[in-house]
Parts: sequence; C-alpha cells; structure tokens
Amino acid sequence: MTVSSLLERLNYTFAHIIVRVNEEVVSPEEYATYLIPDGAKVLVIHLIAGG
Amino acid sequence: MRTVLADYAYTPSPVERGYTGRTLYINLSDRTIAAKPVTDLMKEKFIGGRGFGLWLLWHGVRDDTRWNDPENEIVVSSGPCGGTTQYPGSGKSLVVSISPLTNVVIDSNVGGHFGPLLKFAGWDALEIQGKAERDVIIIIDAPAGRVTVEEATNVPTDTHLVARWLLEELAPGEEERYFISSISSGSGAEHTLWGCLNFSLYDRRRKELRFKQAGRGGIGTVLRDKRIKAVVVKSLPVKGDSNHPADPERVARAGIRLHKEIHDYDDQQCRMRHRGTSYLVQIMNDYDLLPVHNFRFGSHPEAHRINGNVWEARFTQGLPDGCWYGCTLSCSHTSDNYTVRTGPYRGQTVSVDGPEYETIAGVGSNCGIFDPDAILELNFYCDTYGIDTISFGTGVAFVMECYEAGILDREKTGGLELRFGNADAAIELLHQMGRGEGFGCIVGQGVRRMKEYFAREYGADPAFLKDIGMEAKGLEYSEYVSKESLAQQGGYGLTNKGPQHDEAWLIFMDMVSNLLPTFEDKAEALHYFPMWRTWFGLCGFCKLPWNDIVPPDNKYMDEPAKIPAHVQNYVDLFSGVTGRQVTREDLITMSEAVYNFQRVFNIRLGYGLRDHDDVPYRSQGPVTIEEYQSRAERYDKQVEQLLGLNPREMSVEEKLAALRKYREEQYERLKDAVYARRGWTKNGVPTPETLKRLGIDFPEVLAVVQKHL
Amino acid sequence: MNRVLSFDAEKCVGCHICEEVCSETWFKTTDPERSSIRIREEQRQDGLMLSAVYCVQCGECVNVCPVEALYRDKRGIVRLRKQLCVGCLACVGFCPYLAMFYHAGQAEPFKCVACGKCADECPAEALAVVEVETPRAPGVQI
Repeated sequence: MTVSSLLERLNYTFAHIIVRVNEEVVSPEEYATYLIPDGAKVLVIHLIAGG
Repeated sequence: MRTVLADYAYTPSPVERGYTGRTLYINLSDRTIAAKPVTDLMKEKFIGGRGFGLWLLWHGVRDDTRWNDPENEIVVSSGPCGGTTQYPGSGKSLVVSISPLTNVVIDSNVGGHFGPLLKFAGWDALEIQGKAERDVIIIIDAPAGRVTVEEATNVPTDTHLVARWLLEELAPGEEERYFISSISSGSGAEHTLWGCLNFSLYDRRRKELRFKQAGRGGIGTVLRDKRIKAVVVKSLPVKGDSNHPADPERVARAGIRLHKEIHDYDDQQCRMRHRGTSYLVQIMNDYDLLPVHNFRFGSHPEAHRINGNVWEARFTQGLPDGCWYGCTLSCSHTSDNYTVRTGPYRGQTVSVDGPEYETIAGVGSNCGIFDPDAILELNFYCDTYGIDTISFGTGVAFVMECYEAGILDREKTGGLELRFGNADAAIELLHQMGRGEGFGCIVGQGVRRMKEYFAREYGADPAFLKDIGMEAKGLEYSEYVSKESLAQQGGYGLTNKGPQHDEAWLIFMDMVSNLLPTFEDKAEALHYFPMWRTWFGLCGFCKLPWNDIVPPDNKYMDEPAKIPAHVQNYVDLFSGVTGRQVTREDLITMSEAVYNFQRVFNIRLGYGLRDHDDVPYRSQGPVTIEEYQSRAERYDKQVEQLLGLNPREMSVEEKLAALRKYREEQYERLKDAVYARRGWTKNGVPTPETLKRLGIDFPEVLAVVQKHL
Repeated sequence: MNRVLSFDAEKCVGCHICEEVCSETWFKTTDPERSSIRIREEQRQDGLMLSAVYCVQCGECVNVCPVEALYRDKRGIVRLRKQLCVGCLACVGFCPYLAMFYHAGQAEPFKCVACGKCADECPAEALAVVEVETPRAPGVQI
C-alpha cells in the first residue's frame, strides 16, 4: 500500500508527522505514490503538540 | 474617590541583560513597600520567572502556611528573556502561590503584558504578602516613580469592568493605554477555590482590553482573599532593546528566522494565525483523545461542531493577535461582537478572549456540550468572574456524571438538571458561583472536596467517586485523555503542581508513534520534557513557538520530536540576552535545579511524596463497563497479549479487574523508573546527592529531605 | 496613485553605487548592509544576472505590525513611525519581497521610501521613481 493509504487506514490526520520507511524519510509530496515494501519498518512520528 | 494607604517613591532601575536587579515587595497587612535585591545566586540558580517565584515564596512562608494565611504570597515574574520583542512568544510570566486546591505550590503560566511591563517599570518580580482590611488596588507607576496601595470606592470586581475602570481612571489618553496592564480576578473567585487571574493587554487595533489567564490552581481566590481588586502597572515605553541584551543581533536574527518560518509554513501546518489552539480539537477527536463525558470517551460524533474550522470562522481574521509584541504565531484570537445571552451582563456586545483548546474541550466536549455559542457564553463568564475554565469544565463534567449515575438529583442541585449536554444548567452553575449562592458554590469547592461532600452528605460510594473524580493532588485534570498512554499518566501524575499538561505532553510519542516502549524510555521522556518545558517558565517564553511551528527540514534531524533547530534558537536567545554562554544541555540542568527545589518545597509543606503522586483510575483505564465496551477490541487484545488471559472466557467485570490490576502495577513501576531517573528515592524524595549535583543543597533544603531518608 | 521605485535590469551594470548612496543618505555611512536597495548578482549559464531587492510599497507589513507603526502616506509610500516601533521585526520576516531590512546598529528596521537619491546617482539610468495606479500585490514572491 502507499503511505497515503496507510495514514488513512490509521486515521493519522495530524499535520506535524514524519514518515520513515526503513529509516528513510518520505516527504509529504511522495505520500500518494510511495509504495511500502512488504515487511518494511514504518515509523510515523507525531511531533508533540498540546496547548 | 481614592485613598492612599501606602506610598513608595522609586527610580526605575534600567534593565541590564534582561534583569533590573530588584524585586518589589508589598505587605498588605502592615502596609509596607520595599525593594529587594536580586542576588547572583538567584540569577545563577533560579534564573527568573517560576524560579524567582519559588525562591521568594520559600523564604516568605512557614512550613505550615495555608493558602489563606496572610503569610501566603502571590509572586509574579517574567524572566530575563521576557519582554523581548523580536522572538515570537517572549512575553510570558509565571505566577506562584500556595494553592487553595492542593495546599502545595502552584505555578501558573500566563501571557498578556503585565510581566514584561513590570520589568520595564523597574522590577524583576512582584511579591505580595499579607491581607488588606478592605479592598485595595495596587498601582506601580514607573513614569511617576511611585508604588501605591490604595482604597477606592465603587471599584468593580469582575474583570471586564474593573480593567476598563482602571484604564479610564489612570490612562484617559489613548497613547497612555499602550503601556498599562492589570491583574484582576472576579466575583467567582470570591465564592470558589477555582479563582484565576486575568492579565490584560491593550489591543491597539480593537482599541480595547483583552485578557489572558493564569488559570490553574486558584490564585484568583488567593487574590480576592487578600482583598486585592487589581494590580496595575504603568511602564516606560517598550522598545526593541528594552531588555538591553548582551548581543542584540543574535537575538534579532533568531527572531527574523522564526517570523519567516511562521510566515512560510503556519498556513499549511497548524494554522495558529487563523485558528489558534482550537486546531487541536479535531486532531484529539481523530486520535480518540478528546475528553468526552468526564473523560469516559475520546471522541464524539458532534465534535466537528466545535472544531478548528468553526472557530476560524468566528475569529476575526487578519489582525496581529499576539499576546505580547512580536508574536507572529498570533494564537491569541478573539470572538468579536458576541452578544451575551444570560446573567448580569446579558445584552452587552463583547469580545470573548478565545476560546482556547482547553476551554473548548473542558466546558464543551467533556461536558457533552457541542454548541459554540454556549462555549462562548461559558468562556466569557468564566473569564470575567475570574474562574479557571479547565477546573470548571472538568469539575462540572464530574458533577454531570454523578447526576447521571443517580448520586445527584434535582433536589440536591436546587433544580438544575445537570446532565451531559445541558449547557443552560452549566451556565446557571457559573452564575451561582458569581453570586455566591446555590449548588454552584459546592461545585466550586473543586472535585476533591466534592467527592468528600457527596460521600458524606449523599451517601455516595467513595470508591466510585475516587475512580471518576478527575483530580490529582487536589487540582482538576486538564483536557487530554491519558487512559491509553502510560507515559502521559506519568506526565499528569508525576508533576509538582498537579495534572496540568504544561510539564509533559507525551501522548503521541507514546501511544501513537510508540517511541517510548520501555520504562526507561518513558522515564527518560518524563525527565527531559518536564525539564525542557519548565525552562520556558524560567525565562519568560511561551512554548508554542517551540513546536507548534516546525521547520521543513526537521524531519531529517536526529530526535525530531525535540525540534532541534528551535532548541538552538533558545540557546541563542538566552545567551544573546543574558550574555551567559550556554549549551542545550545547560538549559535542562537549569530547570532541574528549580524543579527539584519545587519538589522539596512540596515536601516541606507536608506533601510531595510517592503517595501524593497517585492518580484516579479514570486517568489510567476504563472504570465502567460502558467504557470497556467502547474500546472492547483494543482492551480484549491487551488482556490476551499483555496479561496472557483469554478474554472470551471472562466476564466484562473480570476483564475490567484484570486490566486494572495490570495498569495500576504499571504506574507504580513507572514511578520507580521516573524517580530513579530524576535522582529521587523510592518515596519520591530528591536525594542529597541530587541536590548537591544541582547546587541547591542549602541547609534549609537538606533539612527537609533528611526527615524522609 | 502610489509613488514607488522602479528598476530596469537590462540597464543595470552592477556598480552598486545605489547601495552606497542609499546608506550614506540615511545612515551617514557607506555600508551595503544599511542600504534599502540591494543589487543581487547571480552567475547563470548565459552570463551574469542582476536583480534589485527594494520595497515595492505593497503594504503587507502594515497588517502585521502590532503597534500600527507602519502606515501608507499621502503619496502611497509605506512609512515607519520609529517612535511607535517596538522593534519586533515581524515586518522583516513577513515581507514577501524580503525588502524590509534589519541592521544590528538600530533596533528599528528600514526600507525604501522612494526618495529618489539612488535614481539621481545611477550612472546607467536603471532606477527611477514612478507613480503607479496600485501598488504591487502582496504575497507575490520573487
């Protein structure tokens, strides 16, 4: 699946996220087209917010 | 008619590298006013802001001083960087006092102009002790070189009236209004323990006063208990170099960098300039973290009615809504032209300061209220009555759950049907707090005392109340659901002041990104982030520009959650203003000293130990069957995977009990890990070694911890 | 009508005299970092490209100033009232043309006010003060 569809599946709507697939940063521009390989380590880091 | 009770002439000291070198002491009992020197020790170890507040309060009170003893103090201080105009978010102040809710020290963070203007009027901190016989106003007038304590007739109590009265009395001309700020509370603070402080700022475009709140802990109640109607400061005009920084260019370059970043990226990121902290509502709802119905649930189908889009449409757009000069993150929006619907100010058209996320979630979703106008009505009256919207929201949510559980009924509430969603009833409770009559005055004693009262007077089950009453240390929880994040349970529970999110906000890191899998990881985060966030309150900074705007290359950094480029900005700012060359690590050590001092202070006052860090079970897991069922899949999985049990062969009650035992044990283990990391004993006491390492092993500090070793 | 500086890149020879004249006029010193016009040189494949950065009087900064120190005068030029300025430099960060400048020697920022001194001295006649119907739209970055 693409990064976009993963984020949608997990309902990750937060603006300040960082997506790393196998340690490589994926830019937001690539989310829609970047395909996540099978067995890849995916890290979605949400930068802390809170008022 | 004004009568001067105490009069003090002074020449405002110039600011040198962020400090004037003097603090102002006022005693209302014996009517003395004096200047105290700022010592090298204070600057070195306590920096300013919260640090100065704690230091002065420590020396002003006894071990057994209660919040309403004359010895209790209110201390206001900004910090060496406070009043800087170049860097967004550099006008914050910290207010410190012994809290009516917790009986330990509260430190409350606030924007507005008072703190910086106090400095530019010649004072690094304001320290008020004693009690007046009759209501007074305190006036600090730098152009006149005079501090007075005065009685005056017909001074209003509620903030939107008293602040305007002061403006007309002391600054009839438009330009005189620019550099005036007041602190006031309201009638609600006279009848509840939830009193807040309102710090004013003069909005030049709207040509009116706006207010920011030092909300938490009931300091407004202390203010009115001391019979203070208002404190006003008139300072000398503010300029870009008013702090007289050691390296103004270093400060200015950091500021320009951040202004540009906000200009380029805020629109696509949090949209703070358009919607302020209200952007958080939808996100919290999406992540099941928005408090709904007394923290039972994390989302609600009607949350969209009070989300950031709605507020963006209500807030007047395109104005520089910073709460101190130069804040281009401009989160401090106003709902203008709001016509008040109820109560003594019905029919007036006002500007409501907010609402902020905490208010929307507290008096809104947590109480089942999803009508924006109801939230504005509650926001307006909480502010002018001087009542903390967070404590009110969490407190009323507790009352509503008690009502729906049958613990309360219309007879007990004086006719108010306090069910979730009944905004009219919540508003009426607020008016009762303003008037000082009715069930509202019982509610306004706070969740801790309500629990005792309902058990004693109504025969309610104290164990159930203990589980659902969202307070710790006596202070109501702020508006995030910590249930599924052990780290955030610690972020709320293992605080000095009580469950306020300004120490650590770790929910995403923990729950969502799973970046804190081990106890040691959590403990490390519960060391770093509270220390990092404490630092802002030593210097006069707001934390929002740290991470509510993010540079585009942050994602490629190591430890992106710390926003390293912005941490470097703060190093530049601190060194640039004070001339003290520091590293990023030094900022944490500075905070550790103050934080540990505060912990010892709590112990000195009779609290501050391991059992004082206990939390209500609603903050850790599902209390009721309904809560369990709302997340059944997730909980069943945990019962199976973490506990090694078979959920299909267990009743809901059994699963609830098993999960509870596990989570309560986890929290105790977290305490162990965090105390160890912080250099405290198993009972939560800072060790002499830790105090020595931090350079705060003063004899009076060691004397307190010795008793508990 | 709004008075504004105009620059003809075709005519510019990259002598930087305009920067000297501007800083001498307004700061009594020759220092390009204190000039309200900056000539940028960019080496391209087809030769040296010269461009000028200066205020085009768009007025975006007027909205961002927290103390209303920036205003548009009768001739349409955006001016700064120094006595009101609190030195926050928000205007510097928010200028879409990066044409509001800061220098460490002064807390208040500075910008082109279309005084015409540079135009008078430019040996290539690349600069002129003109009147335009409406100022250049804000938010348009070069």
